[in-house]
Amino acid sequence: MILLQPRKTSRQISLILTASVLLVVVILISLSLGRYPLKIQDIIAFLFTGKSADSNMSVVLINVRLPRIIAALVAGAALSVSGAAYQGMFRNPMVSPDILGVSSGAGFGASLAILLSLNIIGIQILSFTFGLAAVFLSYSISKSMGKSHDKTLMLVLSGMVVGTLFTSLISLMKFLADTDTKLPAITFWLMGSLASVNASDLKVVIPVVLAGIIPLVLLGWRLNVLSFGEEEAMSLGLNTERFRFIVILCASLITASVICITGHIGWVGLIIPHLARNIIGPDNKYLIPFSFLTGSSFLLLVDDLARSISSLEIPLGIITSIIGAPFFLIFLKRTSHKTW
Amino acid sequence: MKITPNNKAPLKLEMKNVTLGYEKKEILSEIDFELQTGDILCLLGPNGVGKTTLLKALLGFIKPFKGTITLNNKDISQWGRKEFAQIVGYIPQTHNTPFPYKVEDVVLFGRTAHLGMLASPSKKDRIIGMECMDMLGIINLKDRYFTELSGGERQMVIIARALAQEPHFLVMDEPTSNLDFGNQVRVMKKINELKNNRLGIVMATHAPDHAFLFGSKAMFISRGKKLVSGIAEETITEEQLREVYGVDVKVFQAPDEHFLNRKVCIPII
Repeated sequence: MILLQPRKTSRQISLILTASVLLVVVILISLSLGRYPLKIQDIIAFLFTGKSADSNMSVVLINVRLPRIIAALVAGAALSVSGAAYQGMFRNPMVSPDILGVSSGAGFGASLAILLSLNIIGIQILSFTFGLAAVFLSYSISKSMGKSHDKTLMLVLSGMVVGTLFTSLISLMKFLADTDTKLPAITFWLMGSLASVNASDLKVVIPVVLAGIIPLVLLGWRLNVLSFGEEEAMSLGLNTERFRFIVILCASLITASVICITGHIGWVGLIIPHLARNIIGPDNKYLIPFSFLTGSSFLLLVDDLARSISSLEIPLGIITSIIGAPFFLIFLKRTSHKTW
Repeated sequence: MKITPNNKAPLKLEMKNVTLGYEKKEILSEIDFELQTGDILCLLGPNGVGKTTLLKALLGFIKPFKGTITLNNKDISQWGRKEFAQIVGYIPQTHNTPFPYKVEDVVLFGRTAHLGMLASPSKKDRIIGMECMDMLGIINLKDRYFTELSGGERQMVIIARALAQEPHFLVMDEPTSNLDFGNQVRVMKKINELKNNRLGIVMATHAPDHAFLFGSKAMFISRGKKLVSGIAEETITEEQLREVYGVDVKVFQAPDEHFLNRKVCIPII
């Protein structure tokens, strides 16, 4: 008769638990790092008792370090989750959250706001709006392309076109900008940094990010069904049109809301889901939460480097790429052929 | 194995005077057929004549220019994807996925139509998946990577996936085209069993013998039209084969010993 062995999901669950523990450790290390030295055991004592011998502890921890750490966690998680969701949806492990033009749109919005001398809130709002607008444009163009075309391919192509359009518009903004003040501001924004993120930004961004991440985590298993392509997914009972719309909406929402406060941070959304898939396997039910955890740990560590390598802070976007590229290559070389 | 759908009223899949094509180009016209659960319809015709197109229309992937396609007398465009998939399963011609899913996971994709939007497969679904693999004799593949299987093994996995869907109809696009001779026979045997379990099967095939084997209905398509359809014994004749494929074939009655009471095609070369 049939031997029904229990499925080996215990491996995935223990990996997720390990990643969670690792994240807590990384958070504690990050809390202790900085110009004002704090010991990890003092921090733990403070977190549990609320008391500390060091009177500066609460100010340094709560007001200075914590917002930045949370920002790194949220940004890392958001970019990794949307990267994982897009890789699953486009059935391509080389896809990043930028595929539909969200970061070029956001970059243009921010450059335009800087050119118009808007304040920081104005920059964030325009960046968020144009980020979403770029995705909406890509989606609409692909929808209008006739029904007999491959829908996924049409999305990728319209995303490329829209991305290129907004990248050119960013160059136009740079060209028009005042070279002493505004051009550097635009350039720095595009490099990405967590230095200027404050607690009030986070209060707005976190709910939006959660509103996008939670559905993606819950839809993880269904995302697997798309891996055999549009028609097979339809024949299995998935309303692909509606499903794709939901995934794009959630992924763009979280990416745009993070980019608008941090600027452009590349690589994370491409390599983290990729590495995560190598470790935990392609089942998006586990891959998405696992990308969330590893992505936030990764970006937090990178940000620790960004703020502690030298007294002059290095933009985060630069470090993610410098570290990410060789790390990725080493990982690809070491892991097996299985992922592709 | 409880793939047996209800034994009460048979369900009905029907095309009436259907014209099909892509963009503005017409590919097939005047297509009529009716299929009930427990029947097999073999679609025969030369390469590129539109057999796959017909199957895709039947599954609602493309809309007909003219005519109606109905499931239980309700136009298929009126069916929700999920409800439709609970009744009609699909076994396509080629299978690929860029991600290394385990065979067991792939078979479980067949449970999609029975799960809520936010749900993932439960133990009950996994048992159904195992039963389907067991029925096809591929339980030994369950922990292998789908991407590393041979063409024939993949085909069996995809059939298991379609069975896990617990459909009443199966639409198959050349289900034996990539298989070695042994696997071809095994798949045919399963198809015959499924028919006896009162599944309705529409299958595109290049082998007229398949229709004899199942004692099924056969439909010839050629030059964009349905030529003829009916019981295989009457429809598949030497003249018809010459007309459709342009080759000479002899149709014989196989000898009655070994219970092989059916016709066979033997090409003349």
